[in-house]
Amino acid sequence: MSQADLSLARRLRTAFVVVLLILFLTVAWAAQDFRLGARLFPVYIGMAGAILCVLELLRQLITRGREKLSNEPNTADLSVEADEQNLAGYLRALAFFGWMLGYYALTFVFGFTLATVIFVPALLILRFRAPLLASAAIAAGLVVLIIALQYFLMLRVPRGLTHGMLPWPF
Amino acid sequence: MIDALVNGLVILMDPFRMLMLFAGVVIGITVGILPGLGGLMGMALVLPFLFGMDSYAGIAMLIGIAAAVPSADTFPSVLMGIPGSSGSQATIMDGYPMARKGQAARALSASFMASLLGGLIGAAALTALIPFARPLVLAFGSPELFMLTILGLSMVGVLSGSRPLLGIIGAVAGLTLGMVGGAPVAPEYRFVFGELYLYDGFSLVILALGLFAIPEIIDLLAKGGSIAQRGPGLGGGWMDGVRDTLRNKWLVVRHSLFGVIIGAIPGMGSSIIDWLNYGYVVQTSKDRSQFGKGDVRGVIAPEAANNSREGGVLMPTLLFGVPGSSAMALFLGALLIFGIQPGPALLRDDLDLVFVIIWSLAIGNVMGTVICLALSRPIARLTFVPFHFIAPVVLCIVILGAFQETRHWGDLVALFCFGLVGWLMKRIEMPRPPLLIGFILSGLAERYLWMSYNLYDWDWLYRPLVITIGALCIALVIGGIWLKRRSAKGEQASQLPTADAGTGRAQP
Repeated sequence: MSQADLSLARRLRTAFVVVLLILFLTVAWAAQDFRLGARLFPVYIGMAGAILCVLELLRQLITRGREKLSNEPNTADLSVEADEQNLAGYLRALAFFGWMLGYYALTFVFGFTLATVIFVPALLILRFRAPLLASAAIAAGLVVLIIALQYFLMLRVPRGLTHGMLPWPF
Repeated sequence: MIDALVNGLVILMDPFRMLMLFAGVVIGITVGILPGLGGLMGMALVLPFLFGMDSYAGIAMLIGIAAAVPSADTFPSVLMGIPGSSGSQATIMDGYPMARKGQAARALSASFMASLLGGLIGAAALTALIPFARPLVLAFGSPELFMLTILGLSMVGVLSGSRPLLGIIGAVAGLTLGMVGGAPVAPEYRFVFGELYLYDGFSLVILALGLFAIPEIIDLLAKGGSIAQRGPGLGGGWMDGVRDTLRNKWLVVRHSLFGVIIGAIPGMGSSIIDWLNYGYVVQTSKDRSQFGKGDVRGVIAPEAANNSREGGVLMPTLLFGVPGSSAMALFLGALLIFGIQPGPALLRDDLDLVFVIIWSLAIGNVMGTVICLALSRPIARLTFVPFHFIAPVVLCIVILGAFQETRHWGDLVALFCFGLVGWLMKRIEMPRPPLLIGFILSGLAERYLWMSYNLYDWDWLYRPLVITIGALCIALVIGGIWLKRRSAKGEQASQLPTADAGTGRAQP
């Protein structure tokens, strides 16, 4: 991991801890209005969290620039790859969150089943240049799965704005 | 008692009852494989069909589901790093890295073997403990239950690896997230901002899927390629995993018994047992260097405990009519449908039925393991398929599973937000399991602390079991620090580069 990549991760870590610090302070402050039974736990937990965040920020400040390698098992990362820990890697991953939001938007308008029919081939063909036939087969398989799950497991799927205007099974 | 044991087996051997047990196992495997769905879902599904059914057959079917889910939920945990149900979260920690190394079949077979042994030990323990279970369950009052939550929280340090402070902050954030919704000890809704969706608090399933499933899907899509690298194949095959489990037989026995005992305490969910056992095996192992990177013991211990737990969960359910878990609440409902009143009278008047349940649990575990082992090789091959072909299917199922929680759009929003937080935590190397543990224990810790204080003032601190569990917490923490220092000293003394030195992470 290069120095610039380390710096990006470190900055993000600091920003995340600052956000958590604000969250903990807000929790402790907002809990003052609750009844006694509901107040004690959030007040103490919020304060403890804020103190821990301050300690972490101090630790980050003190150890800044003095990086060392650790072989201690870090259960935080299941598959963080060094070549993904750079700005391009972050943006690449964030783009897929954008795709997920697109899936949600389609679901909101067309309902889950039709959204899947549109989203899956779109992702596979536009983003991964997958063969048309394979993309269509996966989408069709998913529609069958969704219908089967609704029928056999009585699952419910999100309905869209167009619900009732489209033919079965959408 | 021996008569009842034999009678129970004879009753269950009826072909229709065995068929229903098999059907339950198949349903359990199906809902276990689908992320976000679990035993509760499976039991809810078959409940309407129980009316009019032979009571032994119906009960065998329900127990078949309960026995099979903890085995089958390992598939998504190991193969994709996605918790199959709330009871298989900790399995991800080492099972998934093993799959990424091309050892998916080994991880799965080790897990299934451990699940089988755990399930059988759970059934045996339930049989053996029936005469003694009553005082055991009654010994746990609110102070002891509070101390058990502290025991769970004391695992946070060990699950945080090289970033203990960030891990503790994560656990506190989890405790905070768990406060959203109705306060457990006062008529007050906290941090709901007028949103109806938040009144019931966040769902554990959605949090777990968001923290573990979404980041994995996103990162694998961004990286491209398949989950496992081609070359090493599926690893040593399923016999290696079986051998791993047999080699660690005492680990299986220890964690199975741990699973039974904790499972017997009402309210101790499968996720708590899962994490407690994972933390315990990491804490008590001499060589901890491979945990989190693909140590098979990290798969065996939680899986053994997870299956044996069903034996423990049945104790309060059958003995007192107190459901040991949410799925057992449905099981109780089913017993009532059949006109069976659970409680001490059940042991006195209908011991045959109790043994039908125990036999169903044991045979259901064997059936579940055989089916899962048969499926493990073909399903493990999925890890070599380019992930962009799998991702849409997994994402679709994850969204569908999350939506079943309340069937509200808030489920999807929460899934996305937790997914983003989980991804960010992964990127900044902030441990995610402590957040989940804090969330799981939040409501329990608050409720039991408040009850203990109200009932006993601070005198509850002097109760023998409280002191014992407290000493265990301290011993685990100190033992962990001691082991960590000893291994660090050993590493320094040897002055030899470790095999995984290349994967060491920069630690600012």
